[in-house]
Amino acid sequence: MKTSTPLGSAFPLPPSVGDIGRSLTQLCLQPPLTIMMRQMASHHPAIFERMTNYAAAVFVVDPTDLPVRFAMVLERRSPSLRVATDDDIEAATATIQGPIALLVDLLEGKIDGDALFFSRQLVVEGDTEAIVALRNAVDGEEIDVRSEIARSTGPFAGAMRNLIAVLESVFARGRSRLRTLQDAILEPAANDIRSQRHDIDALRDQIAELKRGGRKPRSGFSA
Amino acid sequence: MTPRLSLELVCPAGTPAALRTAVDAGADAVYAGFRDATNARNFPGLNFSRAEMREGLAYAHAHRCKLLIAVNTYAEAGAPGPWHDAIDAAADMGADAVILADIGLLDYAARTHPHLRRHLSVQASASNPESINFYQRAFGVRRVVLPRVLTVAEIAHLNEQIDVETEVFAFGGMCPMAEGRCALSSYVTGESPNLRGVCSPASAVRYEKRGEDLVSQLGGFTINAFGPHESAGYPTLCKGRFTANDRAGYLFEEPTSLNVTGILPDLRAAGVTALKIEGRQRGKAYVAEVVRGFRRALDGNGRTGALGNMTEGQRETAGAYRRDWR
Repeated sequence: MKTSTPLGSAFPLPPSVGDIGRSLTQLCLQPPLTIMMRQMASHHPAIFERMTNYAAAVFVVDPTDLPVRFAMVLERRSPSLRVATDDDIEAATATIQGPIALLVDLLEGKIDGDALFFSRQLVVEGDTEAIVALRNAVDGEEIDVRSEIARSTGPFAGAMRNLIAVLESVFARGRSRLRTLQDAILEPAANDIRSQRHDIDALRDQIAELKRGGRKPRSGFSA
Repeated sequence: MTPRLSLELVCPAGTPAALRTAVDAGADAVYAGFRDATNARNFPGLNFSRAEMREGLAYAHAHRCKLLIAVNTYAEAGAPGPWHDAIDAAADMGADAVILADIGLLDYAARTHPHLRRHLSVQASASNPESINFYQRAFGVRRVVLPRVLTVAEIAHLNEQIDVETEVFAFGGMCPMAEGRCALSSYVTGESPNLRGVCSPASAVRYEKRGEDLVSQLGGFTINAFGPHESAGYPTLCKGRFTANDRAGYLFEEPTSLNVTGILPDLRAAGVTALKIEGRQRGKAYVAEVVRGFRRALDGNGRTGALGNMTEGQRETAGAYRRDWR
């Protein structure tokens, strides 16, 4: 089980700051999360019907590129979606971990969960049966996450749609720049490692050759 | 332009949404099962209630697509009620065929609903003329889904000796090819794939991150560990990695998926009637991409496109259809 900071592992904070941060995050996010879950229950009752056997399961959804995790309980009469507490994380029936964009695509059925899993972009831990049930129940519906979020803001739905579009664009640009930066920093190190690995392989071959024939290694090798 | 290949495209649906997706993507037929142990994909949250199946059937027929209902597990001895109910429901709602494996159920369907078309499931493991002709004579089977053990030449030879349509697997997970007779996962889970419709049931599966590795366990046994840059596979014993004679490796089967797009004309020439895409347990994104790809290939508009990312282990094979190792 991975250890947790109040706002997730992306931005670890000192405990007191973390507590304040958690309270603020919960304060801001809880009302729309609650409305969103109510809407899901209202618009997609089949999900809850398919999840009847897992009504008490706590699913922790961990977007790896966001500083927050969510806890979800799909109990038909009182479903809940909240910012995950340490207790939620500790008691999670199952955890689903991946980049937020992929998690949203998965929720909307735009991408195949098994394919994500095969490629290791999605990590699941805990009760596999509950995860499989959730995946199947969600995939059986047609969900538009952006619309659900926008609708959860009531009269501000139009403005929220625009805000989501802007945030998505900013997020995508930021991620692209981060990738460029990562490549610039990591590529030389990766080249060094590859070169060292090649040298180690050559040394191993020479040692094996020595063991087989008892001959002297070829001269000219430079590590 | 390449001529259209008249092979029927039979596509999977584990949910109503996947059914609609398959129909919209160009399936000629969709196969699905009820939400119980009567079908071989009895996974949590998957499959159809009676009402959902009825709605799915209406949607398929409105788009000139057939719906085949799989009742392809073996009935529990002395308690065939749920299996009979499933066959009755399929007949009542006007399914285009039922896919059966159990001879008791084939007999029940033939006697009770003589006009309901009967297909022989791959779970019956019928792969020679004597066996197939027996099912045709005794139960009026109209189509047989062939096990994945045959080469194209063997399928052609078989088709010359039978008077039954043949359906072959075209895309999806590979297995040791002992359909209907494989009890491998039963040894560690206590559940039968053939009686309860569960191969490596999710309740017995655990995934765990250990450092950078992903470890898969079945029934408490570690069966694989994937390195940080290694593609993962399904948690089945046949795809487990074990150590034997001091060497660790895939002893039974590697995590590789079947893809026959390269030999579609060969299969048609061999007398095959229909292609089956595997994956009722997969999501609608998989269904959309794979069905669209095969539709394009069959209509002569090119190959399926890159489906590699949809495959287990991210690798493809033509499997036994091209048994190069012989």
